[in-house]
Amino acid sequence: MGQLIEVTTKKFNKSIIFELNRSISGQEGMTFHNISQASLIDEISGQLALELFKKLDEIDSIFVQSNMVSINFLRNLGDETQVAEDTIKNFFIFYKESKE
Amino acid sequence: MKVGITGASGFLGKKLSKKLIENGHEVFRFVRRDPKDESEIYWSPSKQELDNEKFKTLDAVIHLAGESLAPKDIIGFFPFSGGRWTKEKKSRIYWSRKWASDLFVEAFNSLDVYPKIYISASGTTIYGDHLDEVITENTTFNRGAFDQMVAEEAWELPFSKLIKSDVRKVFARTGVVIGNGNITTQLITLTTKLNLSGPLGNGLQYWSWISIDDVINAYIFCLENENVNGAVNLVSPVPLMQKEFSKKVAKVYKKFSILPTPKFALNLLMGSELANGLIFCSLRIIPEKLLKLGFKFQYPKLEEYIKVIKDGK
Repeated sequence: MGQLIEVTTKKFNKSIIFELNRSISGQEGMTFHNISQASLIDEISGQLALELFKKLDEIDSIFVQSNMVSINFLRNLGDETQVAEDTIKNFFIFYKESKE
Repeated sequence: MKVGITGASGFLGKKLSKKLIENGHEVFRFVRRDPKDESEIYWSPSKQELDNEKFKTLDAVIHLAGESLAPKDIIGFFPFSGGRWTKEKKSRIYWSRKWASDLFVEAFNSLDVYPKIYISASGTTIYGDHLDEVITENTTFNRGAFDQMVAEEAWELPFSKLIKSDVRKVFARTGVVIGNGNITTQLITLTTKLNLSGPLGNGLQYWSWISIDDVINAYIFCLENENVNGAVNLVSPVPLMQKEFSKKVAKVYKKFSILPTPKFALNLLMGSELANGLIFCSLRIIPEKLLKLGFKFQYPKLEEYIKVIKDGK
């Protein structure tokens, strides 16, 4: 069983930035514009993006760099974005299980 | 499950039937002649006839039958060969699909007992040319081309008349299928081996391809997964520009992919409608629904699958 990730969330109109208490990618960063791109990346950043695309519609892009995850939506989703926060918090529980 | 398949003797139908049986399903083939045994079901789309008693016993129908859009062999691409989209060929393409769809809708609507799953082949051509726009199942159609109209009006639209709400309908919008034994793959590998491949037209048009192995797995996924409903794109996660596609194939065969073929030459050879439908229409499609539902592609990348084809597997 993996650990819960602590997340600090900042909302800006159609974008949300999540600051995590651990790094999930290198410093270079990676942008995913759709679920297909995410599905091709076996690294943690790709798998997290894949889970976010699965759970949320209307994502324009996801950017993952170190301990930051930015999601740009096509419109302002209001409280619906809680799903994104929960997905990130629980990601390592899912990720561990899926790898076992 | 008891699964009835139309087009069971075709390229996809044969392989799908085999895999279904391996997975423990019972397969019944729809045939236009008198059935030879219990595993065959009589139907005749042109006469609008169907053995309703046997149809009733099925759990699912997978409908693949339809006059092929592409010619059956390489000769078919040449003028006067019968493979071009003449008026007669277009009529066969359209009505072979429309009659079958109408027949099934009528059967579902008129019977008290009926299969609860209906999976129909459809084409990615339904979206129409979208240049480099990324296409998902929610993208609107660009109408005007014959093959777009066929997919929409003959494969899918008849089912808007279905009144039985407990039938799970799936329309498998399938892209360019790559696999040993089909005409597309034969043409691609032959031109590559002869160093005749390269950009077709400007080569910037997107091709949404899928391996035959993933097509079969996706059909079975759609059959067995209750959450799959409506239109589903059966394409790999990596659509490629035609010139990139060609280069990747050539790299596996250690050949060149530099010989351009002008658009007018292919239009002249194949007829502009067929050439546009099969070669120049740009479809940058992603399998959003399949991926969201957790489908895993066996061959998401073209070069990996072309290696498999080269090794003759």
